[in-house]
Amino acid sequence: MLAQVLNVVLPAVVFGYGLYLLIRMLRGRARGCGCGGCSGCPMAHSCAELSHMKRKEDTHDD
Amino acid sequence: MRYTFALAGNQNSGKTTLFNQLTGSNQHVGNWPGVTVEQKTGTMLHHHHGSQTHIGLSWRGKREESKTGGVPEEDSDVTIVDLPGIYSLSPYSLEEIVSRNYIVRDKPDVVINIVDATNLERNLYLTLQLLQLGRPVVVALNMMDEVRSHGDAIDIKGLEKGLGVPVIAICARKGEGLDELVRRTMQVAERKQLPNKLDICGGAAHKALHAIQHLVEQPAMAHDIMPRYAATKLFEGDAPMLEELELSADTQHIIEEILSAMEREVGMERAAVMADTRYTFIEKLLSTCYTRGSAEGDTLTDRIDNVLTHPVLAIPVFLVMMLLVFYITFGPFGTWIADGFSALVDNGVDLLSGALTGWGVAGWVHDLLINGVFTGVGSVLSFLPTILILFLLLSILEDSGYMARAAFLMDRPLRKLGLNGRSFIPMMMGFGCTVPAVMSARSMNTQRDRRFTIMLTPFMSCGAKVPIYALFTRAFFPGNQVLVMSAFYLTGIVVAICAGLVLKRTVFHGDAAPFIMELPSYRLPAPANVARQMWDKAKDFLKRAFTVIFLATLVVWFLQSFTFSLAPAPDVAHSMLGVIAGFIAPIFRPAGFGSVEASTAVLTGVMAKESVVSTLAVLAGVDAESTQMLASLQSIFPSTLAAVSFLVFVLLYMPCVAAFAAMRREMESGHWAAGAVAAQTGLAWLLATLVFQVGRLLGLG
Repeated sequence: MLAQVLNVVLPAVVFGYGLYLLIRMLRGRARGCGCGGCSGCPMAHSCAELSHMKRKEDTHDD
Repeated sequence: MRYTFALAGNQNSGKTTLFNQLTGSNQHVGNWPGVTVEQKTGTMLHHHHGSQTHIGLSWRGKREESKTGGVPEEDSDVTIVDLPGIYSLSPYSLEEIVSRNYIVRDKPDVVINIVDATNLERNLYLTLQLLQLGRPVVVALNMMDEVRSHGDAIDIKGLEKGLGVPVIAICARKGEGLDELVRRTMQVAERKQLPNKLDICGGAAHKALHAIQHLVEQPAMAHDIMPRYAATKLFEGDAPMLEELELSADTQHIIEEILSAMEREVGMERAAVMADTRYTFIEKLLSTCYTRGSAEGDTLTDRIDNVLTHPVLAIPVFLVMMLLVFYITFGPFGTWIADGFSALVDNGVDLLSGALTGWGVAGWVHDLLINGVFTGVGSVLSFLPTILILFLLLSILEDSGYMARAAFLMDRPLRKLGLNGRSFIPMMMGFGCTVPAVMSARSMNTQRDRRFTIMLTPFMSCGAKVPIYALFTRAFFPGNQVLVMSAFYLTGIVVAICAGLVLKRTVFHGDAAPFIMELPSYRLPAPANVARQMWDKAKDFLKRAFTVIFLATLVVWFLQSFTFSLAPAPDVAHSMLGVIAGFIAPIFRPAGFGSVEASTAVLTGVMAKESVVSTLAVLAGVDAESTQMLASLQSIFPSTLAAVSFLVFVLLYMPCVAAFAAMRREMESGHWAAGAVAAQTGLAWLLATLVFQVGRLLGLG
């Protein structure tokens, strides 16, 4: 029973996460965001894309 | 009441350090000029309540109780804007234009002028110009710890009186004096306290300046510009100011007459007159306010520079330094750390494998998780210690101030390529990641220099290629890892030089813009700064492993496990991957690595270079750090020559898609970016093929 549940859940989680990553990355990479995100990027402070994303977040917050 | 404070000052004066302290953020602080090329904003942690100032909290800061005690924290209502470093308000570079336009047009409530107290004479030149802008100004005298260590003394009150604005001594790196700075700045903002009028001109210059001011008063006020500032800029021959004021031809002619008469009387050209006036004022001010503790002579920085920037010794020292970095990273110590971490990862994967088998999951699910996801991601994760050690050492070199010297050293050789030393900074950043390196090329003054630099930057081996080199050198060059690794890094640089020489004669004619750069003082790397960078790098790497590497691994596993009709594939050759790679593999046969595995690895490397390692691990079905992997590699690449040829290709071919997108944006042209990437890939194939074919002819294959 456990095996059957795992046979469904585990692949679903793996492929579901993969799909989520694919969608997110296609958007991010097309804008030129590198190296796994902005946290360690030395140019994050002057990144036009980061400003663009922040502006979008601010708009949604309003 | 909401306020905006702008941080303005010379390059490397500590603006970003102060910004990080005030906002609690962790913007990158490089100990070389030009790190910030655009303004950035943050919200101040420090806030004001009534007449008391409370220091807000970051987990890094100290908590200080308010003077009345027990007053609750409030949300900050202050925005801090960190402007790029500038030496004057003349519009000769992007940084100066950004800073000047921000202060004049956006009118921050207070301009906090950060002054490097160890170099007052040069820093106060900008201060005098900021005082003319008609905005409240506060001077923050930074690096007071270094002033004290030199035994020098500064009369702060005397400076305040001389400049006519509040002057506060701080040490941004250690967080000293920040409370007082915030308190005084808030006071100035609330009272809208403008600087006292400073008349630094005398004689003919004074008369000329006042005459011009009188002429342009109306147009200046109509354009919301301080008349004194407008007059000073016109005095200096500032073309953008002339354009902005839209003066009539008659007025322009009168101003020209006034200035010509002044030049004849003084015997100096107008811009020189203004500069001379400012420096005379500064010299007089400092003669009463600044006392040197020790006799003039070489400082420690000068003595170290006598060796590290010696005309003959400098480059060998630089090469030795880099070799030492590689030795520590990839030599016995680095290998020991990497092996230990890899064993941990392996044990984790083995435990999971055992658990899955114990639970009786289906074979393909076990294969997906263990041979797919965990082998692929684990292979890359096992290189985390190597990456961290490498970047720890590079951070220390950068933070100490040495990398700025390296840029200075590289100016002459780069000039032969038609670039200047400023291009070295993006290239050095390219050893970390190509994306921010390409973005930092914005600091180049001309589009020609920017595009030229961006085209050469991808030849620098980025950090993502480190796992590839580490894996292959271990498999094919055991015992010589450090030398081979260094050789590949050097190869990238040599190819960049050769490409630069060709591009200079073909696409990018002409000479590079002049390069002036301040050499910061040497300082002991701040442990907090280095630790923060290491933590960022680790987070970065882990994020990449569980995002792009995970995805690449999943895609490769799927394609190699199933046929196009989604039936389980008997082997890789009959899988979807085998068919797809079968079209590409022949291209790489002349280069010696025309196998499905190698071609697939090259393809997935376009998403992220570390994917080359995870792809090979998944296709071989073993962890990258295991001895079986080494044997699998030796079957995929039948000779050491084929492995070398593969590494040459990986070193030089197109960067990842994120880097390509950054190139497209910064070059402001999709055609230029596509052309650059096509040229890089073509060159990579050519050189890899050359290496393999020539090697075979020489009997090395």
